[in-house]
Amino acid sequence: MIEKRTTGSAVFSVCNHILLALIGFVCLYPFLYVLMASFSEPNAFLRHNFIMLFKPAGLGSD
Amino acid sequence: MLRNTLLLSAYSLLICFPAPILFALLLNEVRCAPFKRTVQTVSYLPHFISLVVICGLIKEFTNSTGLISQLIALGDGKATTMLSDPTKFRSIYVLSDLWQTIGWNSIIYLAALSGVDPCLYDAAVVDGAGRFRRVLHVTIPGILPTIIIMFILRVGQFMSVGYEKILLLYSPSIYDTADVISTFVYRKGLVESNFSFSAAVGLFNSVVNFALVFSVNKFSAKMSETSLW
Repeated sequence: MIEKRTTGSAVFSVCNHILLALIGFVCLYPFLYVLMASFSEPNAFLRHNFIMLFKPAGLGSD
Repeated sequence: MLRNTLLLSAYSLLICFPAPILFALLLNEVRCAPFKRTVQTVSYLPHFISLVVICGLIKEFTNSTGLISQLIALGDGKATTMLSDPTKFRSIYVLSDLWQTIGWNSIIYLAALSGVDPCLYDAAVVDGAGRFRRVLHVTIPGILPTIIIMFILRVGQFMSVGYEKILLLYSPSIYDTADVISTFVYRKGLVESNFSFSAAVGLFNSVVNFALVFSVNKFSAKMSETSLW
């Protein structure tokens, strides 16, 4: 299919990708959060003041 | 209670019904197949998790130290336990419903999208249609019958909002906005053993649902020649 690549089309593509990536992240994050919380050391987890959790807070050994 | 049921249903219908269609249309515009597949797969994820776990997550994220409360607190400064605030229950319910169903419900639209004849797109390009025009004049008419059928089926559940989630999320302090007919039937019938009364309420609910499906189907048959029967 032959088509012109216009600026509008490119802008839309970028926005579309960003939006979809965002939706994907929103769907995935809660599970990531639970996973990270599970590996956290309980006290360190309760004290974590950053709201996003990307790595376990004080890796629990057990 | 009747008002809560109708409002919750109306908001769900208004927000959760068109969202998967939009999501499918946007996904359809993505050319990079690995990205498309990843987003699709990830968006199915919430559907497969048990509702009890989902409600646990919702509680965790909306309590005063949770992520969503904290994000909202960035705007107005104070984080509260959102689930004990009756004014916020509807938003929580509808948005979590959206989060949970958007990926899964988009499957059927994606299937309908792949059934649209590619020749039509080529013809539209020859006619000078841009991307947006192609979606508007080829894609949407192509999936309209599917949309209508899904809409009729969705309207049939209008009066029965997902009561499991409400049962798991509500508490007596937010009964004024969270109590719906199904939870009322449950409390009257099973908790207070008032079987006959609760059966009557349940029957009323089903009759209204049936009337809705019947009339929407009739309306759709008249307007678009797409109908269930």
